[in-house]
Amino acid sequence: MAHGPLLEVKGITTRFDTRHGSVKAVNAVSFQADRGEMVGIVGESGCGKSATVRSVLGLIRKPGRVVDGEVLLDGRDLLHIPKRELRRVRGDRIGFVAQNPFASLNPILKIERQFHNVITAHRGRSSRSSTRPLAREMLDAVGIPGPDRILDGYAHELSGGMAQRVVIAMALSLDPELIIADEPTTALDVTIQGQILDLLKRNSVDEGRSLVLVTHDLGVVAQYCDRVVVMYAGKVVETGPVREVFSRPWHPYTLGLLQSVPRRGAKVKSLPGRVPSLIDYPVGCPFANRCSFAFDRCREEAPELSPVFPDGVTQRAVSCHADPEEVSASVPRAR
Amino acid sequence: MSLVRVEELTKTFRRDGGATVHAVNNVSFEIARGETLALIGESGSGKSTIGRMLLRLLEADTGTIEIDGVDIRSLEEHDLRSMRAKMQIVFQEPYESLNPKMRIGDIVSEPLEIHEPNLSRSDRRDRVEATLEEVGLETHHAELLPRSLSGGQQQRVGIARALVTRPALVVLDEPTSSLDLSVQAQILEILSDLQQSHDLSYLYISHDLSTVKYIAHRIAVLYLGEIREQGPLETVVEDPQDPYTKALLSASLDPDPTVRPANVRKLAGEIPDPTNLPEGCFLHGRCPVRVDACRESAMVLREIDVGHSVRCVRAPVDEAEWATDAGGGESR
Repeated sequence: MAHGPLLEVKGITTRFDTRHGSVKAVNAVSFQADRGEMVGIVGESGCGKSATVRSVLGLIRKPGRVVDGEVLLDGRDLLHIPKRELRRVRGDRIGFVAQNPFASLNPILKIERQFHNVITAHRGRSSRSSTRPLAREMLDAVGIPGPDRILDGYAHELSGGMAQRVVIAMALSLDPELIIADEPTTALDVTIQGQILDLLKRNSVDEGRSLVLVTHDLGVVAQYCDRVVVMYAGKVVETGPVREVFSRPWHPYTLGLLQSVPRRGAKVKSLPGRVPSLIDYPVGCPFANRCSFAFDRCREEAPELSPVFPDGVTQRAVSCHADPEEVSASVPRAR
Repeated sequence: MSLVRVEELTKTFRRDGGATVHAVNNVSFEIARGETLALIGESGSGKSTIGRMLLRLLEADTGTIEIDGVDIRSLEEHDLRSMRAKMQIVFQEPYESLNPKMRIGDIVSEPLEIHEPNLSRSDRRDRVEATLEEVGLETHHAELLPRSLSGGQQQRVGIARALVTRPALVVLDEPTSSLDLSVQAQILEILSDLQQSHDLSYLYISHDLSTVKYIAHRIAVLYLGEIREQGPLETVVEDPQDPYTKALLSASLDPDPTVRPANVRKLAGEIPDPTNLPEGCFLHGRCPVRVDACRESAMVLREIDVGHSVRCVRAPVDEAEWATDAGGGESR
């Protein structure tokens, strides 16, 4: 087994060229996922979290392009391998679960046929009778009662929660080492959300796989993830173990997000202002215009994401000129 | 006296193909002046349908709706229109609820033109400007079109439009669920400030418990068009009695990683089809504490404490009886 993290993303930079200018959607984003680790990428709409994972998966379409960076899976760069090979890696080694399961499923093919297509595309030709048991086993693993009925039906007969289970089962049927899930429960009801997150966790990190989960929901990150990557305006502003980042945020944006959570008996604090334009990207820190800790340097010089090792114990990194201890001193405690 | 009194409200829809959707089933509640009642439930629970029936944007099948002593369901078109100034609504999607071709000032002014046609032009402008200011917008915003505003600002316009006629009741239909967290906080703040300064009553419709905890005084929990549990916020959140309320509370994930839910309560399976309501208790097919009686007879909402009602026949359920492996619900 190779050493080091399973997935290592280094300085990924993605642009979308539009007639209004170049949208700087992903800006030198770096993070990693170890085996058996669940990493949450969190941020508000337009922060680049989906564009980041799509860049990792090689799913950026024109007018977008990845202009810089490396995506290392087990030390091998995925950005510079032939398309055909990438397609094989995607599926074989990386499974993808998108927000809308119905967009991932074919509306006119029976579920069994779709399992068959996925399996044979990656595992070589075989008969339907030989792929069906695997499909049944996978549906069983994701908690679908009566898998035969599902296999002989179509996507539109499924509820959102069931369809998402089927998509996860298809991803798992190729036994990938890494699963990337982009807001997998956002479209689902809250009592179903827990079921899906549990089964994703059970079938990934509990089995030694890595799971990268994109979400806007701080509760999902807090209760499920090991490590968090906080994004703002296409940049990673802070990363580290969830417990540490959430209890002692070092970036004023992370602090602002945590303060925005409504708490009973406490006044919610909202962030003033709005996200800067990703076309006329600010010279300094992209958060400076909304930041109560900002000083002159923040408006002139963009901070780098720098690793910090508090007490030499765990790895954290933050991209901010302010004193991290001063930021974390303002964290909301009482509930 | 309550501002709003709803009794035994029922609504069915005919689905394509003829099946009858039982959207709202015998729902009763009251809202006092200056109070927020939160209707909380998942998709298909009937919460938005109830909000719309309250304002007669949708006609109820049976039941009573009284607002400020007026029987809303029996009003003729003319009287209903004048009543509408007193009862307003804020929608979930701010942009889609605003006319894209109208300037913000005109959008907010329109309800005044309808409900207070005798107002002079300058008085009307003053009212619009004062209302914009109350929701945290500036006078110059009045000149802009909706698309030049952010999502949060658009929702402020939606609130200003609802408020300009000085209503007593505002139905808030998931007003923050399409907004980012940092923006959502601003809207919640404005709503609670406005409630205090105008003694407004809110019917706050939501699927999101965290905002409900912030804004509501009382909660009614809906499942398949039926109230499962109703009571003061503190009571329902701290000491829920119905298995569905417990599961819903437990499904709301705490953003503090050091807070792990004491008892994770999960339901098996999915919400049944509202065209084919279960026999007996609507929850029995998913419920880990069901007994034979639950399958056989429908349950009534019964008051177990002052102002606190529960539908579950087993309430209060002994925590130890909750089967921990229900629905493949393993612990986190």
